[in-house]
Amino acid sequence: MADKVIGIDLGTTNSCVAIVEDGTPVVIPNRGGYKTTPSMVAMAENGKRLVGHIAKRQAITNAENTVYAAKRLIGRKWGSAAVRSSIETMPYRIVEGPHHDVRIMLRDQVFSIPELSAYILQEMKILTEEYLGEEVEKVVITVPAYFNDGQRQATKDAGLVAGLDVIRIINEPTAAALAYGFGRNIERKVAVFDLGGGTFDVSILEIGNSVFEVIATAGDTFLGGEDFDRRIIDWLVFDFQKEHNIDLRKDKMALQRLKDVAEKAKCELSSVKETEINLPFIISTGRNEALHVQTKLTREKLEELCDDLVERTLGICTQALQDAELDKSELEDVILVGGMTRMPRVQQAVASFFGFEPCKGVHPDEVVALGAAIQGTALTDSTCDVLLLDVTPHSLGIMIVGGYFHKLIEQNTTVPTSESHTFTTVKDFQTSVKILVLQGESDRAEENELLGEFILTGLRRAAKGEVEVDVAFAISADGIVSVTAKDLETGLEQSITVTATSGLTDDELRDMIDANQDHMVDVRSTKEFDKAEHEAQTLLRDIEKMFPDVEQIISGSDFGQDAVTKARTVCDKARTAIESKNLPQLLECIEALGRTSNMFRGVVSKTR
Amino acid sequence: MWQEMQVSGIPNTIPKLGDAQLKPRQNPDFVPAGDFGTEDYYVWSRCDGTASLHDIILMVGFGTDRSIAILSKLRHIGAVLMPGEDRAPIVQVNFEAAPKPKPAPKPQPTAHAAPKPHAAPKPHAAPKPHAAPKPHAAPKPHAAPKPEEAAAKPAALASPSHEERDALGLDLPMPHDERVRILEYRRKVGKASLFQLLEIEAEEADVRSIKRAYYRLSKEFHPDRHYGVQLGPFANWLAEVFKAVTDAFNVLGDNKKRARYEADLRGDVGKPQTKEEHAHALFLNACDAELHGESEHALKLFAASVRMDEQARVLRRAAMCAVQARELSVAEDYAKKAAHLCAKDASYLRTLADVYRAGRRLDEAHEVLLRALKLDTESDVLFTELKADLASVKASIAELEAQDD
Repeated sequence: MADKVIGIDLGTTNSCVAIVEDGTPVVIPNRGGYKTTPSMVAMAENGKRLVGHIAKRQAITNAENTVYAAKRLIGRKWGSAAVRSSIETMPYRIVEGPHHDVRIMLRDQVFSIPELSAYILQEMKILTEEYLGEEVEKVVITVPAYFNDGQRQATKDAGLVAGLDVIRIINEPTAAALAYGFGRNIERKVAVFDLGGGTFDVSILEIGNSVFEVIATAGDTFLGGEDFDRRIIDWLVFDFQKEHNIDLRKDKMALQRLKDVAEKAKCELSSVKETEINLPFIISTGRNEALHVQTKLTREKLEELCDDLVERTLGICTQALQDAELDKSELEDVILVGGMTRMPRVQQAVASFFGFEPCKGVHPDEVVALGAAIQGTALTDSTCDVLLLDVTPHSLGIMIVGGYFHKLIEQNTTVPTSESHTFTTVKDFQTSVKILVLQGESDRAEENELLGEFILTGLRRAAKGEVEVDVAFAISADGIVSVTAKDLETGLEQSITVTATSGLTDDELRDMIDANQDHMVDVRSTKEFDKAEHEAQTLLRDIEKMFPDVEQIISGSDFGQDAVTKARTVCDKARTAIESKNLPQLLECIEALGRTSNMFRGVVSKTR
Repeated sequence: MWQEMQVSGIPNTIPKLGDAQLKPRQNPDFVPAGDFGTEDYYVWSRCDGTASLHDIILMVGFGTDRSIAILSKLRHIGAVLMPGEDRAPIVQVNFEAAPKPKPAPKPQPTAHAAPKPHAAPKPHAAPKPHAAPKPHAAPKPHAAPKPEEAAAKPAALASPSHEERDALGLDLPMPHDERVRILEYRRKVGKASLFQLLEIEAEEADVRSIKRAYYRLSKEFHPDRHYGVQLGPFANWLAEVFKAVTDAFNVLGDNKKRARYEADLRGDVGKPQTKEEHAHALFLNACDAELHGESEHALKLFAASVRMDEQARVLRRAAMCAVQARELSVAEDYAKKAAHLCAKDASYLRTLADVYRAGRRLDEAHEVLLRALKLDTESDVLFTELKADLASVKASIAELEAQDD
């Protein structure tokens, strides 16, 4: 199989890669043997780029140049709520990009968010290639169900920069359901409860005959494991301030250590009832005297600190059920996704909300990547029976007079789909209409995302309301939106295919891809050389074996003497290339060797 | 065990299938097609390799004879494999129909819903090949096309149009039978009843079988099933056909919509309207009136709609309309109610601020906007709008203060 498709769960805190091997989806461990890799990128002092566990390990000492939770910023606009809160809480420097987008400054270099995400994707790609011993290119990447077009596009751009062909972006909860139902002959409705590092998603799906249908999704992008960590940090900081009158959050190093210890304590409290929090030398006072944090955190206290967060998730579950027009009793299973669902309080809350124990059969950290790999296989392998019926995450429509948003395609509509509506002119002698393509849920046009705009001209000069324009929307299975406006009188039409922007221009993107390719070549060249050398040696052995025969056959004629001499030159050249480790030259020689070996074989066989 | 068999009346050895304790499993190569009925599917879905024939017959509850008939049919068409068997080639032949509990043939759903297939001169007569299929009737020749078969006995499309003939002749990696199937289905769209589009019988269709039919047809027509394959004109047609399947399902899969559709089919008039429906109709009329500049009339209609069914969306729209008509106290009332109903949505607070701004009540607008900005707002656009509004309100306040000085 030449075209393996990998599935990558590009998470806020951790990423995971999977592939379907012989019909079974498997997670690919990283070099350290872990199934997930921290979504962290750092710039070391010597300008070296560090990704994953290495980046995490040095995060404390190099906090300002270590990026985590970049997913919270991907596809976001400068000045948005998410960016503002990140600027307040992140130790790294967030700066404004040239297109109202967001960039991050590491040492003296400025990076776009898709670029930083690309480093993580590339790491996952390399892991897979080392594991499989072959190159991979095609990928399905998952995103939270609530990502808008801009965020999805930015994620695709990240894939592109990493040298990957992103064949599909799918929603994380959907991927989880795919992994849950794959290969099982089941017919049921399930909920996916996904409480990840940065976001909370809940989806309701129906599974039957290997078809996976998304019925409803709801979520909150301001709710995730980090909010739980922050509650612990706030609690520690508050007590410390009471005692010493120092705000630890003001010190970036202290903040990073608080973050680490909060995450660790949170995880530990999933299995034990009480844990020690020890942060010696957390900060020094003006009088050069070091202060320490030493305290105990109980599971009970943690639950008290985070109780409202857990409650919020349940409110969203209720909303999803309402959207799906379902009663809790109609669900047969709840799939837990995301590290946060290990918290006993969360599991209890889910169980008591739905009225039964959540499913234990899937691994909350790996299930999303497995599902992505399954979707990749479903698309490319005709023997895979799985079909995912996905829905549009947001409503689509146009702006109409008065500044209102007229929806043509409602949220949660199964794709591919299309819809059209006839509009009329609103002014006398109006000869053109401007179509503003919008995405969102607000009735007020300006509160929705503008995906694109175009003008249909050449309408007949007539009284208002007389000329009719038909506007048609279509969304492909890939989620690509195209809009056509047609003057029903003249038949003239105008259309656009909406391409969302991630804040990167095409030129920038190309530069990044090129820059990254160079890096890829470094990583891969030794491996490629080994492969080429092996191939060349095999051909050389073949040719050497045939030399005596060939020489004997053609000795009588002057025809072919030339060819033999040439063959010797080619073999010598190949040996030199191997010795000097010159890959491009060796690749050239392999071609020549191939031709020679074919010719020799022809000569030998003809005379037998 | 022996006793149990006596009670259930299931023989130890089942003709054509073998020992009742054998455990059949699904043939992974088999793809259920149009003629595969819901009962067939149900029985097939129990063949999981862990349940014996005996248990399956007990499990499905169709009665022994009928269950055996379906099982042997499944076996015959290659849908199930018996232990030790390799993946057998799937044969698609005219097998004998399983005995039906109800012998009388089903009438067409209704007269008005009768399909008008292109080629059928008498639409009310016996069903034509591509009219409403019957789950357990003999399969139509074009069902479950298999490439190998297509070569031997190519399915033909009745009186193809130029476009269709061209499409059938194109050099595409799509089997002939699949093309015929898509074209035939496409002819039904807009003409056949929704039941016929889902290839189910109206009277038998419960929610479950409608869903199953939807999934089965999705698997046939969803463009992802042909991902990365050059499809020529079939690419658009597939999307078209899949949309028709989805639309049919969206109506029939929803009890309310289905009831209305069935009433329409029967030609019922004077259906009762729910309060919500009436409120929605009023709302649409109000929007229309507003667009035509009749603010006062629109306001009356909005008020009526709100009285019937208090929706935040309608309240907000009414508030904006009232601002246009300079009925500011009315607007404030509506906007406050809307903001109260959707307390977590900053967009509604923004409308309230707009009402205050229209009345030059800047301090109140300022306070409301600050409240809106404190809410978690997922939409970057809305957040930016709120900030811009706040800046503009602040500027106005500063201007006023400067004038006062």
